[in-house]
Amino acid sequence: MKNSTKSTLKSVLAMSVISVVCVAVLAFGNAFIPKYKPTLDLKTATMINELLPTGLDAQTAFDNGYFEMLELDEKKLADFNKNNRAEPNNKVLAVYKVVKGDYSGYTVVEAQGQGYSGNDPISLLTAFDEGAAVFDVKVKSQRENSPGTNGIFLDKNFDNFRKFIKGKTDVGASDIEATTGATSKYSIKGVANTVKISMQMAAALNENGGKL
Amino acid sequence: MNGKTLRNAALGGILNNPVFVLVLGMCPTIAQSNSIINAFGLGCATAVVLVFSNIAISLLRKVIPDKVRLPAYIVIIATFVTIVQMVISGFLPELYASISSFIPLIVVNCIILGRAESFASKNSVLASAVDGLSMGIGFILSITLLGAIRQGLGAMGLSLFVQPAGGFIVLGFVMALFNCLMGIFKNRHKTLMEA
Repeated sequence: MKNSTKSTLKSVLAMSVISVVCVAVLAFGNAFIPKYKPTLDLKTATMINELLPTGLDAQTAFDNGYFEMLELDEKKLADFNKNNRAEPNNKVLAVYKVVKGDYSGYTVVEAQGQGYSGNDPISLLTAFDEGAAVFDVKVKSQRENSPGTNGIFLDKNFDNFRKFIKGKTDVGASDIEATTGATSKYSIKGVANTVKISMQMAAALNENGGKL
Repeated sequence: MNGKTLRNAALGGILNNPVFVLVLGMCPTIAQSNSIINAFGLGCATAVVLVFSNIAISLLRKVIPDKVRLPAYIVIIATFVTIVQMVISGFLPELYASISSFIPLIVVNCIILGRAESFASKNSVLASAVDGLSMGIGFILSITLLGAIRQGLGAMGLSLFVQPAGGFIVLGFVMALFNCLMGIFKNRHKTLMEA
């Protein structure tokens, strides 16, 4: 009995020490390993150039500074996401502005929403006109991996969705479902949440003269 | 630690190849070997976790009570997997986008727990590190080879081989070929293998 208690205590102690050390290692990693931040790279610039054509090829538009990324205060962005998200994975990642060409003054919001599983968010670029109404929308990435959901909504119904969403300043999952005929509820919810938080960001920027 | 243990550990990745001989880690092998980049990325992530978890478990082998060894191994492995996930998401976002679903699954990859239980918990730190490195390289080579074959077949229009069903077919053929070649090699170098 005594040996058994001793052995159990030893096991509990060993597991506790290992857990504490592992938590410390993870906390250290979390504090010092840099987090991914979206940047205005050529891939994103190419997509923006497709959403809001400059009349130039993407590389030239990118090199000549047709687009720029808005410097948003990190804390204010975190607060905005916290106050407006529909679920934990739903957030605005970055905001870009067209500064030259026919669409000068238009805004592009990069945001994500949860698709089928938490590890696989749907990421969209939503372009807004100067009145914060949706001009067009493009998928930046979709990594849903569950059988039956991969690409069904976005591949087959996305053109319908683009027509439906143009000019809108608000949207709900039921609107998308009814308009596009899509059946993949998880994807629809992810897209609706992503567009909705993008609309809220565009409206906030519009009200505050391009600042949060 | 003797020379034979170290040599066996160093050759483990080939002679006891985790994919083609031990048939471990089949889920990520099939799921992520549909392209070379994904396969190589996941292989490297797994190899890094394998090396560091082997070292940590070997260091702690005399401290961890037998009763709680498996939960302790899982906690240690999960820590390294999370660190690897943070590093990949921070520095390689494109790769992370492709393999993010499978990185957390490295925790339950049988190769890692298998090496921890059968090797690292019984051998010195150096031998365990060599074993982890050898097995890791063996895993990278096998999953990348499968990725290359499947991507090549897919590029030739044989899209079945990019799907999981095709992955099993390719794996079966490559596994058969590998074991056939290993059999020939072992017969020719019988004395070397028995030494």
